[in-house]
Amino acid sequence: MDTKRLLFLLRQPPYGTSHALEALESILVAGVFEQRVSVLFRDDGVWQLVGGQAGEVLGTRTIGKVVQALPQYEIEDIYVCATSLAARGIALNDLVLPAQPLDVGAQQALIAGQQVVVND
Amino acid sequence: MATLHLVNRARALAGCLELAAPEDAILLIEDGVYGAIAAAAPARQLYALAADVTARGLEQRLAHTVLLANDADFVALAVAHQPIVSWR
Repeated sequence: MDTKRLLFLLRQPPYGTSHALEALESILVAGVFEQRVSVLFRDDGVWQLVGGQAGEVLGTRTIGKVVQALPQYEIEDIYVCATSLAARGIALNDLVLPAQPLDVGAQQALIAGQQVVVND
Repeated sequence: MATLHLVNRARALAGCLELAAPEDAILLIEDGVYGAIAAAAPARQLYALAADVTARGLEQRLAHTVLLANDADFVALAVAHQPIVSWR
């Protein structure tokens, strides 16, 4: 199978709809198929990265824990929009895993280097 | 290759504009074409899918920065760009 450079752009908040969980499950599947997967959290998608989530209160999985598991599936290129974090008062050490902060120019370069972009 | 951004709802346009590089192409389709009207369109050049513009009665309401794209233009844009990012 061809290996593709595949970027998931995650922009939806973690609860409220099933978008975030479905996107994360797609990422895990892409990892299993040994694609070159990168993940970029931006806009309200950065809330998926915040520590201290408790999905069980809503009877659902804790999205932060699913995100935290990404490196175990060999998905290690995890980026976050620095502006989206700052706009929400979120610090890098509030995150459930070390995501690399990128400015807009670096995000544009990341997108330009992909073959496929999945935007949730 | 530059990126092609496909926007199929007007409210998704703002997020697209934040991330689109200057050399990228933005094509508005379906309800995204409402983002091309003179009262709402951004300063940069955009493409709007002609059939969706005509169907909605928007031809006379478009901003001057908007270029109409027919179906063949859509194909040409898709071939000339990589990756393609959909915004909805």
